[in-house]
Amino acid sequence: MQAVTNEPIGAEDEPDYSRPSSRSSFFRRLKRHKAALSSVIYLGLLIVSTLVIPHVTGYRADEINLQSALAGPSLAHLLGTDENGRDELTRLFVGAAGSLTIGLVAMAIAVLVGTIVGGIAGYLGNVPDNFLMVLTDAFLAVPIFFIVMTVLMLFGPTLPNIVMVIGLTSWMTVARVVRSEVLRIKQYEFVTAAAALGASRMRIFMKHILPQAFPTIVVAASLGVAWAILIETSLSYLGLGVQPPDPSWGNMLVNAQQYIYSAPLLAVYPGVLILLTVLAFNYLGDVLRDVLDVEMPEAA
Amino acid sequence: MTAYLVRRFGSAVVVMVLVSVGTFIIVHAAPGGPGVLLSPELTPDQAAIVRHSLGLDQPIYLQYWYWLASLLHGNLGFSFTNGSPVIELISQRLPATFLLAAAALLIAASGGIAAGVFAATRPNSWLDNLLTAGAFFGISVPPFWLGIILILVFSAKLHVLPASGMTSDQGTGIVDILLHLLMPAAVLGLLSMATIARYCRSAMLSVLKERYIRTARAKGLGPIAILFHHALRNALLPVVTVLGTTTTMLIGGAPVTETVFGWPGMGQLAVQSANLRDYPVVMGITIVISVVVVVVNLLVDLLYQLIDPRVTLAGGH
Repeated sequence: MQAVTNEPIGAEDEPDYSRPSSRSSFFRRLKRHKAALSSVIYLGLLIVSTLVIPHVTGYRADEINLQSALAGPSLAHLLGTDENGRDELTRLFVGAAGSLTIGLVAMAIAVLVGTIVGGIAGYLGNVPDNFLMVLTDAFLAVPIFFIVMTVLMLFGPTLPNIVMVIGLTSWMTVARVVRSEVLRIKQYEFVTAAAALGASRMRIFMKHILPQAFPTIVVAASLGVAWAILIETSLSYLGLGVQPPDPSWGNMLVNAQQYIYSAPLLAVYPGVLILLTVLAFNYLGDVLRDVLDVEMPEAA
Repeated sequence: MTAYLVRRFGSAVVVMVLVSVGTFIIVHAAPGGPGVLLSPELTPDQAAIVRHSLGLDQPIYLQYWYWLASLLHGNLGFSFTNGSPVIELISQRLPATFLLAAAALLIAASGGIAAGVFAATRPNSWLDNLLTAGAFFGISVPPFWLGIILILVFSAKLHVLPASGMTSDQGTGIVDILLHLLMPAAVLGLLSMATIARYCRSAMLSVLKERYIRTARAKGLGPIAILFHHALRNALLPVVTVLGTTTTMLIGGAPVTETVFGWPGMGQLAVQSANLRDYPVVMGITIVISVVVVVVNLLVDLLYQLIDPRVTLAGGH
């Protein structure tokens, strides 16, 4: 016996239209989350500072002045100087440019690869799916950081290499969530309808499935930047990332650790910036997950 | 059960084959190819002779086969910097890395489970919110910086813990090692603690909604007995599944943590060797670490099958 209902047939298969449909409602919902708002404000300030501060301090990041080495904060050097007398403030924000660029580009590579792998696996199914998921699991099952170190040692720690190797070893989570999104979306009637109208598989995927998976990709991207920045700063700290004399939040901490007894503040500044920046991207990803109603494993 | 074992072993083997092929390809794709594994001091003529004796002039699939065969015999090559066999260098460093990973796992598991249980008993309380905030901090703080700050506070300012190394000159015995172990293990364990706490919290929350918990309450059992005897036992099952990922994370975090604290393990050796371009050592460590991680993950999965009564029943009858 079938229950009588006013719902149209197949209503339970309908896509979820409760998602924010217009841009203004999206921002209204975003505003409700104070953490997200403060993350966005912090990141905005960081980007503006990165663009402006290195040009207004009057110092170059590699300008050595041994006479004023390890000086405390003063009007001449607002955050003091490092062991070579270089202006800490200038170096912090020249380093920020590197970390943010590496984080964003590496994330873009990871999202691109992850979307392609997850999209193909989810849409085609069967053999490609099995093969790509075994590959994904294999990447997840090995200590990636050691592989990254090996590659950078063999190919050299240049900026393009750092970006490529971080991106090409960080796509697995994206691949998994995109795959499960595609598996969900491809069952909808509009996909069947598009196929019935004679749309090619490529067109169906690009025009009908991928846009629906976009919120998931945005969330993954935000968490991905956080991850990439952590990896880059770790690599730079270990001497395998951004090479001195170019400043990076990671390599600035190597020297700071040596002078931790005489100039402890030098060990604090870069770390606080890394922490706040990574925290901001993680919070943003977490809130976007709520706002965009995305199912995704937690950042941890 | 047998089918599961075969599948699980099969996937471990697939991962190992992929790791070996990947490592092999990386070396061959590197500038200079596998020649980088020869000593940089050789003249071109000498290099050609060594190349021939190593079989580097043979077809690539044969080269892979010989390389794999020698790996399986435990031959990981020789260090450029001091000529010692790589396998020897690694086995000297392995105990320190395992000690650090075990201590970190202990801290992560005990702290994470305790925090998860207490957060689950009071969802959305200040304690629960603190845990969420702590988990965010745990995934966002750069571990090397946390290490430096701990050294700044506990070594430079308070003078209560040693800043670096595994033993001190005048110190003796286990207490000395434990004092050196405390900070690196805490830093290494923090990230995993956050993950375990979150898993434990959500597992406890769902178990506490079960009907047998209501029955236990109706029988008049005290909250402690219910929490630890009835709920935690079942909530721990899903937590065991993250132990594999946790171990991967702990071992993957070794280079950074060991470098910050001067801990004489494999991670530190890998970083030092990478900066000296001592290729054979770094490649050897990468391969050994991959094997360790894959085997640990395999064991954790098998352990899970063993301790989950539902799985045993389904397989056994």
